[in-house]
Amino acid sequence: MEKLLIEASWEVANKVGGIYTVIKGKAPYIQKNFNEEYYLLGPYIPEVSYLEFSQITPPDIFKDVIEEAEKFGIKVYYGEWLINSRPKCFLIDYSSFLDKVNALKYELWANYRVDSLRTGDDYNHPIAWCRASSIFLKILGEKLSNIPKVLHLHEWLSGSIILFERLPFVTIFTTHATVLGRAISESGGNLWEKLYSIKPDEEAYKYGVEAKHMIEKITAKKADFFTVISNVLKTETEIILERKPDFILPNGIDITKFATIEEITYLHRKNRDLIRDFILYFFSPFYKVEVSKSLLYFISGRKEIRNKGIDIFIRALGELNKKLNEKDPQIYAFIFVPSETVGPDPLIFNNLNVYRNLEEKIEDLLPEIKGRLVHYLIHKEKIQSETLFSKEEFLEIQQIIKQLKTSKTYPISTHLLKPEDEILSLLKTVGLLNKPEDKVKVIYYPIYLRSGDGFLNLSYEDAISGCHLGVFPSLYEPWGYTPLETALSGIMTITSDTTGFSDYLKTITEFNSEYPGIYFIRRKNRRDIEVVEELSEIMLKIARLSRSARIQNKLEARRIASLCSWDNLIKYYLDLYYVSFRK
Amino acid sequence: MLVVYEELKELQEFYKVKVENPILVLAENNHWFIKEFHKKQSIYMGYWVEKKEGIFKVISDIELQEEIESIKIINTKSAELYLRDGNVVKIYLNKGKLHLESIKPFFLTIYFDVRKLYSVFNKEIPYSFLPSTNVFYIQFVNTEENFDLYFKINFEGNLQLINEFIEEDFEFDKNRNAKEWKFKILKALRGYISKIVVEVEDLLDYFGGIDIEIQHPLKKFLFSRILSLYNGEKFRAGLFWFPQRWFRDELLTLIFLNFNKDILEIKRKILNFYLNNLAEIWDKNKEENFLKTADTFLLLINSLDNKAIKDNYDLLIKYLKIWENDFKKEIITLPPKSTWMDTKNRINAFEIDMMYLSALEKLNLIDEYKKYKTLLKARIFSNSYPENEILSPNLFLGYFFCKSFFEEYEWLQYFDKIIEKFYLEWGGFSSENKESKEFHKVHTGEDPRSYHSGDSWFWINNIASYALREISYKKYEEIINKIKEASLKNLLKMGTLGYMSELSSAKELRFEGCPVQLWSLSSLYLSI
Repeated sequence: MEKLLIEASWEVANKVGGIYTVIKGKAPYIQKNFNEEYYLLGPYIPEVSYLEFSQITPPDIFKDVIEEAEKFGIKVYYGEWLINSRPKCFLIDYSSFLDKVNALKYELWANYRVDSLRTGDDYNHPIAWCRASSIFLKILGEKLSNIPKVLHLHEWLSGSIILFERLPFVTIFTTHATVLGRAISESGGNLWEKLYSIKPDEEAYKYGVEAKHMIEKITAKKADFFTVISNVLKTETEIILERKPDFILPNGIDITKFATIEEITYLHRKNRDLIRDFILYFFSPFYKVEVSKSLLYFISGRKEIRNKGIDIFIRALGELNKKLNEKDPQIYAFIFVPSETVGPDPLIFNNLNVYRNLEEKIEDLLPEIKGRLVHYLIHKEKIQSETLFSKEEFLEIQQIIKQLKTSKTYPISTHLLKPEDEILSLLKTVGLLNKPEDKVKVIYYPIYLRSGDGFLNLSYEDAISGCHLGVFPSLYEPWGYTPLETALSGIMTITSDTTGFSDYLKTITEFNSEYPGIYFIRRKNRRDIEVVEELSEIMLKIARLSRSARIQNKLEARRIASLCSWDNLIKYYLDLYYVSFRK
Repeated sequence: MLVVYEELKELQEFYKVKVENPILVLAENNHWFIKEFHKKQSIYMGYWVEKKEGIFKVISDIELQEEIESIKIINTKSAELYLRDGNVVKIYLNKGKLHLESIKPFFLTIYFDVRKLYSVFNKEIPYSFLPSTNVFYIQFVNTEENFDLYFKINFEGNLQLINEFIEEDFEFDKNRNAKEWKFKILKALRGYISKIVVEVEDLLDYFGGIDIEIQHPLKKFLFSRILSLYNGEKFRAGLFWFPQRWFRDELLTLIFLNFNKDILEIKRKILNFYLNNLAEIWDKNKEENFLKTADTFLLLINSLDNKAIKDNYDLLIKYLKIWENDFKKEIITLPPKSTWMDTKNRINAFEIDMMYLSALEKLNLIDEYKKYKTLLKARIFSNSYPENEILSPNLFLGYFFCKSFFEEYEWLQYFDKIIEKFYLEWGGFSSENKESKEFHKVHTGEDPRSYHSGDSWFWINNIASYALREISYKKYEEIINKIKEASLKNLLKMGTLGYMSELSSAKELRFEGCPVQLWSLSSLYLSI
């Protein structure tokens, strides 16, 4: 072994959030370059690790270190992370440090003024893990004192590893979003309006994230290299963490898991038809609906109304509804945002079942009907429903249809919602009530999409592949995996200039002005009303695109998103490691 | 001026000290004598007595013509004044009488100022003198304030009657922004004498005192000062003013002296008073008080030992319910001015919460304790408890009453924050965040602006020192020693000799507020 690269994250073999995907995606590329000199470091959590990790005998070089660590009450599990490339990793069992967590918290307070008075297990566990990891790494560093070593830490969760010990490693700290920026945005605040006027340390107290923020800030200052994932985040960290990043490491995407262009076309048709069937079932008990030429728009994500731009999307749909004319296609807009519900709407559920019964009935009768059709055609007789079905069959069908139920109001959601539901209120405010004459009809889908959910019965990936446009007008999106994956799935995408990957793309490619594929709207330093207007105009423009123009756009979306493949982006990480090993 | 503390002979550091503008305080049960030597008088100085009818001032000053070079404090009741001509005047209190005597005659002038405590009466009411052989019998009748007072002065030597009213500027009071500081007093007698004895008629019964078994010289010194404020029935909250019983001050003192075995009998007697009079006093701070007070009842429970709790359990539970009914909504919610910070309208007070929790523990109400602790911690950590009540030196008091409320690391973090915001380099804690707009760095005297908004209270400083020592002497060693140094300086090297004052300006260590304060002494006793 000539050098050693260790990448530490709370999400190594522990799926909690987006960092898991990042590390999992880049690991094969780093392995290719570093072979047996690259290791991951994560927490050992028995109930999770057994699914994600396979223990193997450690090579001799690590045996002593693992034994030495045990003297400090640290059990180190060495093995493979069960992802395709099976990278080697150390999982640290920190359980014995949980008993001492108060002392550890005080140590961080005494040495760095990290105020952890209002923290709970989401802080205690990472801190205990960091302490145990810091001891392990110290022993490891001392054992391998003759080779260059780099330690790469992700997020505040692993930051305190270098606060507890002075380690013989060159250290890199990467943040994928600041704790405070995320907290402000998640609570509905506009980070970009506040950013230049806030006192970050004081602001952190207001959002109850002072401990995590301080860990993040101090780690950023203490690490040899501090990196972020986008230009957007660079501005944010300069102010909030008071350190200018040394590198920007754009997050890549593993494009191999996405469908090919050919598959995309097939999947789109198949799933679009399934969705259109669903729309038919959903609305037709109330009024006649036109689905054949309709377009399907959607928004998805966590229920952060301001942060994810759900409010902007709904208001823009309201405007679009006014702008569309008779000739324009019908727009069905899905809001795939999981929310608290009272339960499935029994009326919708009943109608879906009625339609399925009807389908089955028709299917049973098809051989008979086929025979009758042939008969009428050969004898050139006029075909009428009364003659196509026998009297008994007709009555039977009528009885099924009679079971369809309606209510005084038109359906909006698959589920009954709490009266205070914000999305429902917004829809009412902008007048999107799915009246028969509305050109924009909304379907609020407040549960996680999965095959067998009783309504669409499609996974998230399948559901969006059937749609024509994904809209993500977020206020805060340090990188923006969701819009990126949407574009990579060959779906036209609208996102905002606060999205991290938008900045990156602007630096590496020319955008096609006629068929941009991914549309960027400006949200920074702009009033909502202006954003709503711009978004509604783009959605209108897309509604009026010809079929061929839509295809051109889809191809372009796919092409641009592909530029964010790890194949292209891993070089930034490799450059950083190159520099780090020479420090 | 050089001051010698005879009782501290073993402690070289404190045996002989230099004191600027010293004030002599002698106190014995039902009378006390206060004298300064630099013409900065207070209306509250002089010779005071306690009678059944109340507390009265008798003599404004006994002025010696010869300059005093040094003072030897023998004990709480006696001192020797060393004059420049080599003469030594012994001044002492003994069984209700004030004595001055010397080997060779000295010249003095005696000023009378008979008045009720806190009276600002300022009219020339004649005193009746009945001279006899080596004695003056004096009668004073104030029909406007409805009292009279008889006293006599025995003497050896030549004491002549002057009987002349003069207007005196009481500089000490003027400097502390007192509203009234010019008073008419009587220049009564003067002459060469070798002995005088002042005796006021009908003083309260004399209390013989107790044997002190404490060996530690400094603790013994402090304990004897504390006892000098006990009149056989109750403790005075302080001198020159506040010589009455204040429940909070008295109960806290009993708690601070918890491990002192010499005081057990006194303690038993005092606590019986509280237990026997709970109906009248449970929510008062003084017998004649009308302000609702939150801590008296809680402090009483915290003063009682297990046996007393057991013997009075039903009574205590009954009043606990009454107390909760008055002061507890979901959490404790207080009426204005109901805590020790009695110029402030605090809705929540952390130290009261801790006293309450400690009381629940003492009453073995463990479920209630756990429930309230959980609720309060949730309030604190969710920021729905006022931050200025948590980040305040009162937290040290909270620690004193209920260490189990926070985890140790939580206390440490809070203490560090408080040190950052409130600690004063001379060895005290400001009562207001130093960066606050409300912060007053200089004491404003009778004008209460600085009182709880900057002034540093010695009793809180001493409790802080105690708390910091308990939690980590190693970490806070420097601060603990600084506080001790400041308190001892106030005790021995500033103002009233051997007594501690109430507070100091935040700006620098000073002798300010009430010049002799019971809880300053008893908290120092605890902290050392």
